[in-house]
Amino acid sequence: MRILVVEDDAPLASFLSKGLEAEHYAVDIASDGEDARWLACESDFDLMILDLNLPKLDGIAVLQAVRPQKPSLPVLVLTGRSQLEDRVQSLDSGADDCLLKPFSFTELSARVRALLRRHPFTTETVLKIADLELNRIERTVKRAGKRIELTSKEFGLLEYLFRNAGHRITRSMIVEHVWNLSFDTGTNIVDVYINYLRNKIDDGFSPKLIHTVRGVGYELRCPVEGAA
Amino acid sequence: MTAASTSDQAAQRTERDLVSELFHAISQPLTALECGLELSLRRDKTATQLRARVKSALVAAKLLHQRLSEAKVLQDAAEPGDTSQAVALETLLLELREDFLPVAESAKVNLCLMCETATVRGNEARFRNGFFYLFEFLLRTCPSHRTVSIRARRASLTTLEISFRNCDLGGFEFPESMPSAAPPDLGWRVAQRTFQAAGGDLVLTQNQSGQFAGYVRLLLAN
Repeated sequence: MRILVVEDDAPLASFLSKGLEAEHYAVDIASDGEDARWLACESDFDLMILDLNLPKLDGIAVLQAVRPQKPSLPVLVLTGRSQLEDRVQSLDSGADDCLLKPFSFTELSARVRALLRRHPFTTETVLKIADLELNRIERTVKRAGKRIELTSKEFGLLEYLFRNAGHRITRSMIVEHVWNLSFDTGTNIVDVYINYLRNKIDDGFSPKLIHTVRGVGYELRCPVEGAA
Repeated sequence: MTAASTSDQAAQRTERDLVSELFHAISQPLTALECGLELSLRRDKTATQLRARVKSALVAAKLLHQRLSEAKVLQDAAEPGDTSQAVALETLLLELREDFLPVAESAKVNLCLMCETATVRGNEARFRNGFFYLFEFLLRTCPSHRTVSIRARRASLTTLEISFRNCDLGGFEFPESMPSAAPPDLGWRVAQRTFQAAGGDLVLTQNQSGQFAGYVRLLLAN
């Protein structure tokens, strides 16, 4: 997998590059917006990590220039801007995810894996793992052929778990993507919803599909066959 | 004129308080981080000691990260955002109530909501955030087997008041004489700053047995 890191802060770019290379990604670095636009449009990358505050051309302008030419390139935006609207603007401009600085490498790494994994799923109507099925158009869920009733938020949470099946997702990722909040104050709403979801899709069925990853978050996976 | 001046002074005081709290909150982990890294450079450390120092510095850095993130979210909450479109509050509150029903059920708390149909001035995404943190706070701090009751109605021609309280079967009236208490809770403070940024307010009073009552006041759109 080849990742383009667009970051003008040299020490941070170096940390990101070393960390990602240690996880066996090939990394290219662009230190300004013009280089980033050129590299992203002319080369094939599997993912772009894009800082918003860049010299020559800002991150949003890069995103707007790259998106029409590379509609399927997953983009993770890094921003030091804290306002709710900045996140919305990034996502509206074509970013797939947005990570607020400061961040930990663990969080970044989890999001990179999620984006690289998620991408092939985006056009699928029916998502499956083991005998669990989620139909994104009909908004229905079945386990072993039996229909399971979910509330709108439970469905959104399960769909997010599905899109990242086989990969750990952090509580922050769930809070941001399912509840659209920019910050996790330590609310237990995620744990409560996961418990409700477990009761509905795992209780009375085998194997269990929703797993707690201690100190990180949760993961949807089939322990026997792996993600289908 | 006087009201505007008082409002400006209150805003300046809030910002001063935020900076002061931020300084206090980051000084401890920053000191731990700096001292830990300085000690790590001393040559007489074994690999094990060095690793322990780095671990300790990482803990301090994560705490620093947390404090800065909290400061950012508080600062962001003080921005009104785009307020060009009125917000249909009834729909927003009913959606949030549905989202929080599982949380209420798991806390063994009854969550009741009554809302007049009304539109208010402000930004929908920010109000959703503010009410999310308010609902979360109310349910988290409510003792089990009680009811969190929320009622939104016009308080005047220009103001909508969303009053809330937790109560047992005997009920609990809003104690006007009690001083308002701003809990040192991040979610609460995010909610308060969100409503204040929209020209409204959030006030809470709480007694010693854990009962509370309070209100959010927002400006009607028309």
